[in-house]
Amino acid sequence: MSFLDRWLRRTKPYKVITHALSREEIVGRCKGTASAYKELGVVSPFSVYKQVVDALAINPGFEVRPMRQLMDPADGEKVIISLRHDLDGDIVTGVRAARYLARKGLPGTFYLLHTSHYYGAVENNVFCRFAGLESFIAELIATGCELGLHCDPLHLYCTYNINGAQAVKSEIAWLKSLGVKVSGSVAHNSAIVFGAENFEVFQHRSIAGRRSFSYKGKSVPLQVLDEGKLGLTYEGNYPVPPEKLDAGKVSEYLRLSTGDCVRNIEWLHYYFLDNPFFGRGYDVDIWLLACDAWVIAKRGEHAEVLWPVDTSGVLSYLSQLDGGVRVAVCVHPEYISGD
Amino acid sequence: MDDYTNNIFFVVGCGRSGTTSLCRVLDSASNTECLLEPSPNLNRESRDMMEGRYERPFQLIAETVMQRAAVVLDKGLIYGEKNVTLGPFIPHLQKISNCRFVYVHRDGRDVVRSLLDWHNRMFGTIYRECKEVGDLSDRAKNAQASLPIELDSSDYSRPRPGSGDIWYDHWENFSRLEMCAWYWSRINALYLDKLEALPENKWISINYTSPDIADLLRVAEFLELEGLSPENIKLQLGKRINSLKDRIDEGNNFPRWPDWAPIDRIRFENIAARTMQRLGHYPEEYVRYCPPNYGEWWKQNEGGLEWYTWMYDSRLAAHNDFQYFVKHLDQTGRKVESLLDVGCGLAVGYADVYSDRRYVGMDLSGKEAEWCRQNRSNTKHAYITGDIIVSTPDEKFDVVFSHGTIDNSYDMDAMLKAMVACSNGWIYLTAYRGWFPELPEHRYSWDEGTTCFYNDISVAAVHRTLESLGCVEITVSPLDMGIREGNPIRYETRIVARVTAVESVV
Repeated sequence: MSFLDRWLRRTKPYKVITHALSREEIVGRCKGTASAYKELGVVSPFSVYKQVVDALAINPGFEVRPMRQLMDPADGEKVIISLRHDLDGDIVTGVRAARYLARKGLPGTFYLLHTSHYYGAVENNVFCRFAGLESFIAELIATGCELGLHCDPLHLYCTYNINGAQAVKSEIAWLKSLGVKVSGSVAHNSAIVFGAENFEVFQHRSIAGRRSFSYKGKSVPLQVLDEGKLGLTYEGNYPVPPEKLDAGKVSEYLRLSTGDCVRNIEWLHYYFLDNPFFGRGYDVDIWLLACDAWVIAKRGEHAEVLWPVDTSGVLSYLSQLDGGVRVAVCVHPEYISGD
Repeated sequence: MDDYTNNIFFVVGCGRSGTTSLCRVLDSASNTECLLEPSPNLNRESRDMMEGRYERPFQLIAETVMQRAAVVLDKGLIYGEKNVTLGPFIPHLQKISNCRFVYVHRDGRDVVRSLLDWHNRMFGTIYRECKEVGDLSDRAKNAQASLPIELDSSDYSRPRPGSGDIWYDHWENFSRLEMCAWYWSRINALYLDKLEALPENKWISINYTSPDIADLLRVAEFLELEGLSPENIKLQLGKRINSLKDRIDEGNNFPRWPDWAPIDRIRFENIAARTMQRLGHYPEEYVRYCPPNYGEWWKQNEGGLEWYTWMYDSRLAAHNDFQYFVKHLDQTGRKVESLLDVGCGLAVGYADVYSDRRYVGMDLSGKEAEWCRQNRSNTKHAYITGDIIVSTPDEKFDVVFSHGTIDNSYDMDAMLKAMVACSNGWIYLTAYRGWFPELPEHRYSWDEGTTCFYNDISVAAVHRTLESLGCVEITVSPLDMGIREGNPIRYETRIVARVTAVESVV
């Protein structure tokens, strides 16, 4: 490869400017997302979220914790539940959810996707962070919720050839400059998109200890960030990477990863219970994936995936869990943007 | 045997009402120890209790409050405690300890101002779900960012509207001023309800809006405290204990209520007016605040005969019902000779239907009255411009009626009162916004665009008002308007009452 070729193919540094996109324009984009999800028929009214939160607030058998404390010691008397909110596309409804939790005095964790259309965009190899975003972050801080980064360095590496690890570092620093106490992250998407998990950018979190992976002929570096130096104390999937990749399982998993796979029970089984890329350290995942339709995935003894389960069914399921069981309830706000 | 009755007292009241100041003053007495928010302060338990989720209040009181009281009692002193979270536990405290209560209250507008300053200048954590972040100082921003919601027991302790509260569905869109007004109103109503259920000699109230030495000495005497001198009390009051000045050496930032924007005055009144009256911070005959631009939009935007005719036709069921009512009076020996139409517009329908009787139309808008004078020539009829609340006609009428106007009034009870005042027979009203049997109070809402109120009328509140005015044969009922194209409201509210203390119409 010539020097020029190498120069052109090098990973570009992460540079940031402030883009004038206003709060109102961000609201418009989020409404567009909400409409698109509504068109797909997967949106629940916000009352579904309220129903879950209300139930968690009044049940003395539940202990609701922020995600950073999900794996902290427990006395075994109560079911430990954390509310995870991946702010993929709708920060407006995300703020609404955080406010409802504040009204009830319950902790919730909200992960801001730094590559989302409400956060910023890459133009001419420069990341343009939207000016209107700050007011949303101020609103989230006001609610007292836990805020973290929904990590997506691989998108920057693979789509734009921009240093995604620098992006993670830079955005964490920026959020901290606004007063956010960032102590954790959660990886966006999954290995089905690029071939690696976004959390593999952190040291000691890669699969089989790999230091890079290949995407469309380009080598993408892994294990380049030290969570401790970034002030991060946890990764919200509490991932347990395998010692090596099972090629057969990977192949089957990728075969199923097409179309509307997130609502396919076979795929869900792989994703939550038999994921070739990583396991999870806690016991149960409950994710909202369609209109009043949740997936429940329980690991360990009597492992099972239940789909679809309505909200009443979810609450019944939670109430029969034994004390000490750790549950992550995951809501993407676009799924509760119904009214 | 020693009598320990009355050796325990509690200073209670809404936050920012002067409870800390009073506690410090009382603590300087020689025979008491008055503790300021001792731990545990029952923040979480208080809210859980208010929401019906706490099951062991007596055990809680015994294990917490009574333990610390015992320490002081063993010293031979009277035990006092100030905690703004004790409201729901008043009956339990009284039962366990035969204690006394000092209830501190303060003008709600001053409390709201103080809460807003507390939020903006100190903590940033008052009603954290509010859609307004607030104009936060750096101190407040840091405090807010450093206190996660799960550790914020103070904000948790503040009540929120339950599903039966008239503001439950509105809470999400409330300004912080409205939330604080609601808190003040709710908490003070709670204290009053709990305390008024106790024997009178078990509690005393003090208005801390502008406390004077005599007020505090009266409290001290009630509690049998000794050693408090007027000079010491004066000194303590002068320190403005627990004010922003006292805490962080800053002056108040949020304006005093006379300088509030009209919209904020309206917002406060919408929520807290009744509690203000109950506590005596509003006089008995208080009329709700009328914003300076009330009705301006209507005065400037011509309705026109076509519009008023359309309005009349769209509520034909209401007009027909009223006309049947008058016909019934005529046919049962109570002939209606005179009528006052409040909010007459262009007198569509009525100028003709009652052409043979004395009919007076009254409207806020001078344009409407002038048009009527120009276009409706009937010597028995007259048209006046005015607000019936402030310009109640001297003339008395057999029937005073109003269609679809009370919904837009700035004070529905005052409007009812004015209508009763100029009737020597009956009043009849319809409210177009619907039928709201579930509302314990009227629910007011102001729209700055049309400079008008859009109110939901409470059946219970109408009954209370008319009964207090001596009315009889009061009927507040749903009026079936039928299915109307483009109008989702099927049932309106109809109010009929006979006015007494005057000679009946024969």
